[in-house]
Amino acid sequence: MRTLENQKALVTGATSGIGRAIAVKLAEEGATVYFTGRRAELGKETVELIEKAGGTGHFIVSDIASIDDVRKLAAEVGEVDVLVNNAGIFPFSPTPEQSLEDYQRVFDVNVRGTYFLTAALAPAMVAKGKGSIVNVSSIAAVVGTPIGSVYNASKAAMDALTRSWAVEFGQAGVRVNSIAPGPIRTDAAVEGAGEMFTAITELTALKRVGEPEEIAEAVLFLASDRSSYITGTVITADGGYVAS
Amino acid sequence: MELQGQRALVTGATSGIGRAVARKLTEAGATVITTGRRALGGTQHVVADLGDLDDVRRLADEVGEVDVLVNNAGIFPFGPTLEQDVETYEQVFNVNVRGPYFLTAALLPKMIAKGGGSIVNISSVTARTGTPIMSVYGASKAALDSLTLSWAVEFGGHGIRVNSVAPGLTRTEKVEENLGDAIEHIVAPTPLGRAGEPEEIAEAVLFLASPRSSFLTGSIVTADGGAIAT
Repeated sequence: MRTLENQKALVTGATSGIGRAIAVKLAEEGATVYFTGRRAELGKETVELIEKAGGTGHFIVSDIASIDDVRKLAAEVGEVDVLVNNAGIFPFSPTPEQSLEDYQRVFDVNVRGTYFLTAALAPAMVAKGKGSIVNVSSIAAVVGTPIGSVYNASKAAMDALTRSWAVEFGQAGVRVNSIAPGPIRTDAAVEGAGEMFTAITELTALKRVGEPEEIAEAVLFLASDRSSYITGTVITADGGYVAS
Repeated sequence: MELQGQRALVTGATSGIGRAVARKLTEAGATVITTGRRALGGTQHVVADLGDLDDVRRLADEVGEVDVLVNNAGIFPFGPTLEQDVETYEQVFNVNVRGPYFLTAALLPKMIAKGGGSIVNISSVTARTGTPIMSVYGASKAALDSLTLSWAVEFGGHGIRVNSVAPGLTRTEKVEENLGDAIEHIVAPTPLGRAGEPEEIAEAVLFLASPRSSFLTGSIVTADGGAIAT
């Protein structure tokens, strides 16, 4: 039997990159996958990839930065067994040049959206006595970088939510964990980092960047019963970047 | 099966977590060699005391080439620092740190020659928490986690991954003997409110041993039911 047979999962930010790979992987393992994103055309592509993998996917256009969208999303999706808070943005900037607008947007998407979506969906998991929440964080939460202060802080906040929710919902049988990827070959990362992206490769122990599918495997592990005694943890998947 | 055709060595596999890991890797298709101080039936078991360097060297020679190495053998004679005797102190560090160090050192050249492999160190959440009677044990596990980081960096360029699994309180025969009814008291306030089962730790080890964790190295995977998140 597939690992997530008969389960319902919601993955935010799955029109590209890591989120898309997660949506496809969970669907491949038998989950009915609802996923969100802002771009309709790319959402259709993700549905096609899910169906090609023999799974079932439903796309909901939603901007996690909008609290109205978050509430609508929770109401539309209803009860889920697996929630993957993956939607995130990373507009980098040096601190003195940071615009308030971008600052606000990073925290709205990466933290507030995750927070209120989880708050809306956790009660059904608690009532059921079972569920797995995976926050897609970043190793940026535990390292300093010259232009990532806001993004890094938002991911550290997310990891703190992981610990708090693990304690808050653990007795009800709901597990909550973070996966903290290192440098991953997504379109957004390659475009955003430019030449730096290749240089980063040398900073990992494995001397390569990761692929979205490798992060999706770790998320699947945390989403499934194979990780039944794991909660409140941050699992680093960075090719040894932080260890170096 | 995800470990089909692979050779794995699991130290300290005559009971508890080690035995569950050996079973799990076998189920996943690996040819598993086990060690322990006690004799077991079967040709795939080597009697060896990881606290004894001669045993460690003989073990490495006998085993030869492996794709997966699980450094699980460990001892935990707890005691307050003020009452710690030198012999017990030495024994903890010999089994928990020196043994895995020289066993890994002896097996690595063949992994490097092969261009890949996965090493999993069984550490403990006590590496990162303070308790009144586990100072030596906790320090030995912190040292083991540190080896995980160093080896990940030292051998990552050869395609060898090195990670730790840090279990919380796990219901093994030894833990039941030592703690008995106290187990329930200890785990009641933890988020999941229960001790772990050896099989649950084994699943995490299998994940790290398998290609499913191909971008994980130098990571410490905590499997403690949320105990240290509180």
